[in-house]
Amino acid sequence: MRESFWWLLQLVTGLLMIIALAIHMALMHWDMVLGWLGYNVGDVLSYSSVMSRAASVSWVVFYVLLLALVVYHGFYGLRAVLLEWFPATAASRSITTIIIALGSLAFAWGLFITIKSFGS
Amino acid sequence: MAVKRYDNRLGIKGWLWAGKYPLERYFYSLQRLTGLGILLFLLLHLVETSYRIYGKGPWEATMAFFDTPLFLSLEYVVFAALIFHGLNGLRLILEEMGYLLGKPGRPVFPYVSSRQRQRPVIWVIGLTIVGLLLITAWDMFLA
Repeated sequence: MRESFWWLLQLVTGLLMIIALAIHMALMHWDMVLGWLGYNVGDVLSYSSVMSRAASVSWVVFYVLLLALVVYHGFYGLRAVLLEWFPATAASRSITTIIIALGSLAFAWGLFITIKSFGS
Repeated sequence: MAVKRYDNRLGIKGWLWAGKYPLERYFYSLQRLTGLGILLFLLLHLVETSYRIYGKGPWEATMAFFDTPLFLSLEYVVFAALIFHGLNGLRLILEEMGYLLGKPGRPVFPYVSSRQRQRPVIWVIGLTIVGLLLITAWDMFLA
């Protein structure tokens, strides 16, 4: 794939994240605002509430997609910054490899937690 | 004749002060700073939220540990970073795609630069960010 494709993917993930993170952050921190809109979310951080979302297929799909978006966008962004700091071609390949490895680890960890919570 | 090359790579110092650059330059610096901060938080967040797999006790102990004014303030900082990064990112995407450049026309004096055309957008985005920061502060600290 060309670099332009990965850059375009950075823009697309950014746009999708605005929507997905707005939902996540509003649910976690905007209980008063959601109350005005007629949604009474209650204590979203109580164990029962967290585990009921963890057992819901639609929430699991939403959070796995959000995880994929955030990991790609975040690590691609970090790579962009690092490539500016270390512009040598030799360094860029190593940076990309390390970024892919770290991003994969982060995604795998998040996916493992999601699957384990879903099954418990 | 050899071309004289200037070393104009400013590195991280250029994020803080890059000369008499316009407002957009500092939005760029903040975009990078908030991006790196959010990525760091993401890794901590993955660890913190994983405590739910150990059962009710460890989860509630973790939540109790973070239920302090200090961590609530840090959560607000993360939320503020997300608001800024997301909305400014939206502006950058629109600019990248050329939607804010306006229609091309004859270069008639007084010339209008692309920066002048885009400047109102930064004010709209900036005011929206401030509005959302205030709503979030109210909901998290006062409600």
